[in-house]
Amino acid sequence: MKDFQNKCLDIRKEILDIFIKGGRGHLPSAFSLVEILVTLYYKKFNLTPDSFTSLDRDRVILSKGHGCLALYAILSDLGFISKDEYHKFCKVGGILGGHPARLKVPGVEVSTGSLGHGLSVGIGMALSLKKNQSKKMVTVVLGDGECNEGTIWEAALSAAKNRLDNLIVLIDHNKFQSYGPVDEVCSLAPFGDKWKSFGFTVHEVDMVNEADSLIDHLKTTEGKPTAIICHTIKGQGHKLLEGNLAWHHKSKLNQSDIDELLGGLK
Amino acid sequence: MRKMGLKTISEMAKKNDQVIFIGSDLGPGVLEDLKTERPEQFFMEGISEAHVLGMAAGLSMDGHIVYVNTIATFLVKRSLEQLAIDICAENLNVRLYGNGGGLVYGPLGYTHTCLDDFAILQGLPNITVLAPADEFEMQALMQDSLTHQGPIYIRLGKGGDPLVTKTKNIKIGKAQYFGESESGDILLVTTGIMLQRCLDIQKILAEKGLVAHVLHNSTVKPLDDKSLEHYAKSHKKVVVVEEHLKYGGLGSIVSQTLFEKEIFVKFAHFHLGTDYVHEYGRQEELLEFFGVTPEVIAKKLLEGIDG
Repeated sequence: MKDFQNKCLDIRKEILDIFIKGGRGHLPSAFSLVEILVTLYYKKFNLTPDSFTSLDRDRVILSKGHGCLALYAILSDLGFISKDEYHKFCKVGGILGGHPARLKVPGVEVSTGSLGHGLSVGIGMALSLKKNQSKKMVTVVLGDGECNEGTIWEAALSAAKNRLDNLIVLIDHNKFQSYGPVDEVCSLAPFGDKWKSFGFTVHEVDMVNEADSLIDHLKTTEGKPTAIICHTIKGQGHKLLEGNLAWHHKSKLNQSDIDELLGGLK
Repeated sequence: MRKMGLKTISEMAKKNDQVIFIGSDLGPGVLEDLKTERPEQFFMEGISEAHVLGMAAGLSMDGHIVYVNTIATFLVKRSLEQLAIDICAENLNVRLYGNGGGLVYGPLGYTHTCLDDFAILQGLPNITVLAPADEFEMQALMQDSLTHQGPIYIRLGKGGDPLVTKTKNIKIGKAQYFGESESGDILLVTTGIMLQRCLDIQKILAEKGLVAHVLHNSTVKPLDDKSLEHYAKSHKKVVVVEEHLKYGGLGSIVSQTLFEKEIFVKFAHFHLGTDYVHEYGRQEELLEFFGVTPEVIAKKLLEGIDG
């Protein structure tokens, strides 16, 4: 548990480093993702630059591409990318953009950014793994706001119809989208029941107090896809960012912002 | 034409397990043989075109060659973002097999006709756009598509179109020239099923003493600009005939290409106007409604009316 928390803290420090060097980004959306991605990359899978030479590998698809700072921090830690890229975040000549690109960044499974794409692409990969009789798994991380998109539900129908028991959808349910609370902008309730009614096995995990238990739910049910609703806080793990909509996307940083960011990690 | 293309896909899939077929909600029994023999290569995913293209992208990223079949206008417009971002931006081997290009679905109205596909696809990176004239050409292009690198869109005619293409040397990216001599009065530049009409125009004009030849571009994008340049220089006038809206289709591409190559030849363009079709009718009847028939075009050309 302590190791897990320490790793999450390290990744958050790394996220801040990229953000401050690049001078912009979707910080709170990355912070709410940290426990989810750390569980996938460090506890569940063993993804290394070498593993990407084979199609027979587990897949992590960050469909909410605007959370890419968290992904970049992990890919850097795992040796996929160099820290020299941090200074070039969102800049000409850099490989790390405001949304992740598969053909630029080693370790990025699918290029995302426009919401509602990653699940369909992941279903294609899950079908491909099954066709190749691979035992590997596809995990797709969605945002809750992203679930406003119609294609998410087209894909959900398809996942169940194709009995994709090698597919796990994880929803970073941080309860906020750009304009305001998800419940007010476009409510998803009853969220778990929706996924259940689409034919998924559904788990809900408290990622604030019991994040360590996510790993116990990363299992599949025969003949069915799985959805895990991860209850997070937007900006999770940072005093300044938690629940602070003004930070959803920031591009003009001054020194006092930077001081506050560096001092605000929990 | 549609059946020949599907048959070719099925044959290719049975020989190559990397070939995948995905339909949305096609007619009963489509490719039943493939579904039975190779169920892991056959998918019928329901009326969800955007999802289907994303899924095709995922399969293609893992090395598959994916043929997606549904109504052309849905493939091009309903799933445009998936096509642009997931497939074209990454130059993936997905083939869009679009039923009912142009006015084929004319009785069903503008929700189903597809008059703007060339224009929309012109703007997308990497994608090759094909419009075969008949089933011979369809079969040859489909076979060529297997080894082609990058996405392809194939615009389909209604089927039963007269066989007019030469059977040899049909290749993606290569135009076909229909003429006895290299030079003449009019070069009719066309694509898809308008080839038949252009061959008829050629005959009518010949009876009136005008020498017309036809340059058929089964590949609309990228255009075989070398052939266009070669033959445009040896004709007095270039006339584009297409089953497409005025802007963004073959006429736009040809005129831009000619201008860029500094070939300042007389130019005329016969097309379907600038609006979607608000009339109902069979393809033939609507082509007549728009005045895009061999008789009308030939008469206008003889009178010097350009479009």
